[in-house]
Amino acid sequence: MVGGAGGRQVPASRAWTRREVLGAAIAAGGLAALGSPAELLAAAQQDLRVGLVVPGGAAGEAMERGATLGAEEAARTAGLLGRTFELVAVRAADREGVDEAVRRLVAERGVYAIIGGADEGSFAALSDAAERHGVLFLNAGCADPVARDEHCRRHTLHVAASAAMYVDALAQWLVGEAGLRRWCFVNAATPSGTAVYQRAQRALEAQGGEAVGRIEVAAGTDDFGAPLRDIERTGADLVFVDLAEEQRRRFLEQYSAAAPGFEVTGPFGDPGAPGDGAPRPRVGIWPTLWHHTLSRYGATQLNERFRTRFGLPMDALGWAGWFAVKVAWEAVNRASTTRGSELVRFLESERAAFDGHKGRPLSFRPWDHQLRQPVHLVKPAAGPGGGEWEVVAELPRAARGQAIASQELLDRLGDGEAESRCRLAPLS
Amino acid sequence: MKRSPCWRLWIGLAFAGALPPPAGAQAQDAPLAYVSNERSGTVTVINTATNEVVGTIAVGPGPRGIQVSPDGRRVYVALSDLARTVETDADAIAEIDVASGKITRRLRAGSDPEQFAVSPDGQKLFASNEDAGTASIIALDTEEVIATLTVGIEPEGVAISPDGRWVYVTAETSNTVSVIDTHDNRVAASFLVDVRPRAATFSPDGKRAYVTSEISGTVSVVDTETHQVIETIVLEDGEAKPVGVVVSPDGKRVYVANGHANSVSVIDADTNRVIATIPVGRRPWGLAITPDGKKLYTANGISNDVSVIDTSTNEVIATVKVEGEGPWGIAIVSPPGG
Repeated sequence: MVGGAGGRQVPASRAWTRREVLGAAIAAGGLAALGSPAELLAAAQQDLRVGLVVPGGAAGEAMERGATLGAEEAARTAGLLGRTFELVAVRAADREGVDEAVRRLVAERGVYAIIGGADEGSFAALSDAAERHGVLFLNAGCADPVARDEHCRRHTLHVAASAAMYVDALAQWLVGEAGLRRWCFVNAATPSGTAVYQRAQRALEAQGGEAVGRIEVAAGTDDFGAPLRDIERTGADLVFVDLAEEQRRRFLEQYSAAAPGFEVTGPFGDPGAPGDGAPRPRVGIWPTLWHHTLSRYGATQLNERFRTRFGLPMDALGWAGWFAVKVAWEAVNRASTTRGSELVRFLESERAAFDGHKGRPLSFRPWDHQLRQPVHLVKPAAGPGGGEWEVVAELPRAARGQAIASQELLDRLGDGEAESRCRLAPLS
Repeated sequence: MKRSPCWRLWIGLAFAGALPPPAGAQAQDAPLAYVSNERSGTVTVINTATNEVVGTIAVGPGPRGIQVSPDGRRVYVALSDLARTVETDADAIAEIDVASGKITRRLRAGSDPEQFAVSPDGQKLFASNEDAGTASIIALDTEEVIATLTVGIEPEGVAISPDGRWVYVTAETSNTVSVIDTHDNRVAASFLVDVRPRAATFSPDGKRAYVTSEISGTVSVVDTETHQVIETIVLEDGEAKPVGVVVSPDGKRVYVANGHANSVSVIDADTNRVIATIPVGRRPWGLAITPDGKKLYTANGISNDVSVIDTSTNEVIATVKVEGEGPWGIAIVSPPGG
């Protein structure tokens, strides 16, 4: 249930500066009664600032584009309300660089929230740093289950979907609608690969499907001829591929050349995203948080604004960066605070719901701080030409005519409270 | 209109107060409901006495917002083509002459006009330009765009206070309402409402305004003296996706069209409580009420029909199929002198 926003009226003339508020308080003799200088400043704070910390590379750039659009829109709205809003973007990749970036953003630029998570390393460092500084961290990129479980921090909230959400969406549609029940798994021989495999197997079996084989792939493997033949022998309808990006691309190239009789899918990776290297072969069915052809509930308008601004289609990381900024901006206004712990409490509450142009109010689960949201599945678009994908499904789906609350429906993707391994520490 | 053979007898009895006028006379003087059909580029005209379609007018691409001039002689409808980021010749407010049913002129109103309001003195039209994030003010006599104001992002709903002083423009992405002071045609203030505001309307006495928020599933009640939200009403546990909103002529009831729930919420304006929920056609967005307050009409965009509600019973008494696709908005015109 979302309450009213308070409805403060700000006259067309500018808002008071910090000096003027303090001066008025002193003149009125009520300084002590109004609280500490820090609280006075907070109350008068009309200049809002969030930080974006990303590594170099395509993922960071994609997230920064979306965050930039979100910040420009927040700034415009802030101007209507007599405030300012600014995004400060910093490049940092390793833990030392991230720690220093966060320290300076908080201490020198006064940011009240950090956005990032373009890769697992920076996600982990940002989560820890944000916790130390007591500022809100919005993860807009990392879905890795091991990294998330290890960094289950009270000030960290996830705009990026979890691996569990992706595999639930895939299982619900591929088994339930497409009838592809016999899956063979190909995953990297890593803790994350094992974790995703285990969760995907549970999702598959929950839909009535069957795991018919599993192949663990060592780092550096680039010949998948034998694995593809092995998969064929299992009689699988589909192969679930969870490999590092470059390995996955090689697997898909060889899969495409072999043209076996089974479908291919996997948990991560927006196939429409601009990448560093060669584009992914146009095969398979993949989950994504956003697609530039989405049109309902204002999606057309958001896609057009993004394309107008950057000359590129909006991809999933761009959407996540945009949405993370939107959350940071709206949370401050609705919670009437920039204090990290209070923002977290607000975002965990029933009052915190946001419009991501996905047709339903998006809110955060209090037990693991995961944003509830639909996941879309894309496949290669029919017709000639390269590089185009089309949306085939949005999950989860309500039965036709079924009236179901948004939270209940969206909780069909991802880990429920009992399943979640995240144990959040109390807020100080 | 064909008259019954006993016309004179009926007239005499009606004059004596013994009988109502014959159906023919009632129908002839009845208010007309004009329905914009977004996908077919037409406006359907419905006689509110008979609830029959009496005309279809081809207006141009993407008709959405539809309003009546204060003198009841003209109907305005916002048109927009698919080129949302640039203003083209197709972007306009078409003016329909009620008497002839013909388009008499097309007014420039900035790019992608969606909703708008006409000032009570009939001099100005205020339109939201969705893709540009602006509101345009048009002088209806000279057809000149006299001001273009920056409002929130993706503006849509436009409402003008009964005294013509304030214009509220909602913005879907900013979750704001911008308040235009018509004395100097500038944005005097802005305030936040709930998520994805779609429409606004003022109470007949001008003291309150109501703003629907589609994603939050709520209606914000606004004190128009302070331009502040004083209460928030949750509809159908927040799942209704409300869009259109109107207030009854006596100010006692607020009606909200719930697009996702396929219903109309009836709110007691004194208590701000929902007192009834009426199932209607699929995806009701626009709605309008007859001048006597007795009937409410909803434009149902997916079922391509209009639901007619008896406001004394809160029941649907008729469903009218439009001769078009995608009903979006409704405006009701009283006949001159009616």
